Amino acid sequence: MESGEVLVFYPVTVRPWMAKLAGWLGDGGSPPRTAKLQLDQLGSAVWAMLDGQTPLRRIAAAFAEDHRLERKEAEVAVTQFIRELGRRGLIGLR
Amino acid sequence: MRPTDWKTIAWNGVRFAVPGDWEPGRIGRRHLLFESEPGPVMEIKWGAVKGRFSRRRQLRELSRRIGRRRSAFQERPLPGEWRTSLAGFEAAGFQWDAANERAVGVLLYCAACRTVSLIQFFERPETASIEHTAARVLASFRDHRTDGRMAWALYDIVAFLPAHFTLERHRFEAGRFVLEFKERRCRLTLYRWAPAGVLLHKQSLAVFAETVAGGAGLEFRPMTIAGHPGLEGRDPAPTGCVACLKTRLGIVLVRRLRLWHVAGRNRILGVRLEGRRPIDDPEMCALSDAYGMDHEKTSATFADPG
Repeated sequence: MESGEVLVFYPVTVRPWMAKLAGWLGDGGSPPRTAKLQLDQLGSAVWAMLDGQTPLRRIAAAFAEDHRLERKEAEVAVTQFIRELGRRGLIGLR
Repeated sequence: MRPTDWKTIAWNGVRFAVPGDWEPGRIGRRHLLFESEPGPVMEIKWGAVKGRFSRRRQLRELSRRIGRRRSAFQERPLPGEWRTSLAGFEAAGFQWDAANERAVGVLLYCAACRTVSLIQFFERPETASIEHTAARVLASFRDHRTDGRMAWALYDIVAFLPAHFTLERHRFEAGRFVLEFKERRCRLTLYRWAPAGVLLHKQSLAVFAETVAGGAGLEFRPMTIAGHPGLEGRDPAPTGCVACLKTRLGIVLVRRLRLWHVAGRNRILGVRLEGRRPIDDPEMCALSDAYGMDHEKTSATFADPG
């Protein structure tokens, strides 16, 4: 986005029973739904650091340094954010 | 902060110094657990003793509690370095060993303030002995002051409040710290928000104060607080005899809020005082002066003049 914030579009998987119900109602052929998630400035900064290689601890350290946060505080914030992305199926966690 | 730097921790009556890389992992009203990179390193619990202090009974209780975790508890004499540091206390050393963890600790009793403190340091097989570091922590340990104030220092905030403000609630969330104190007729709240650059990116400090800091309905005026740009909000002056009388009788709640932007540290600090009595300027000034960032309060500030 112009503001530098990230807008993420991602496909939403429908629960099997809902898909079946949609099929019965004649809506089975419609394209998969997409949801969007607008990240704020902090979320966008962390999102930009997610490359599948950099460990979480290093991302949190860089985040703490960029925003002059306490190490522990940054770790908690980044972990919560990553967990939320994982819950929405936007990223996979190892 | 380099890991070799030490920092002062002060919380609900106790204060001590810990290595810079020890971070509070769990914070209770009378309990702190510190962690470093490999895991927990230190735990402290304290409380006032009711009645007569019995070292034997306290150690027996501790041994029972630790025994439940299948750890072998035993009393041990204090190492020489510790004994020198703890000269002002009645102290009893102990240790316990579990499968992959070991702890050394001390039970302290201060006859002056009748506080008992349990301090233990955790060791892992892969880490070096903690005894020397522990001696330095214990040497800095104090459990009372004589100046009628109480120090609060955790993470990057420091406050020296009159001791009659008792801690009621605390929250240390990422980006938002809140400490709530109460006194007989008023309530004091200390805030710390971060990162200020992001929080004030799309709004002014006044808008932030109204929408986030609970200052809705207050009249704000800009002011400099501790050398930083800030503002103060207060309830509109009562108009009419009835409103004035209500304020004087303590029927209506009086609110004062001060917020300031510590740009150098990317933080916003706030002090909110509300009560059923008039709040005057010197009181508000004293409270906002007593609160700040860790770099603004030197170790000399922690010293007890008594």
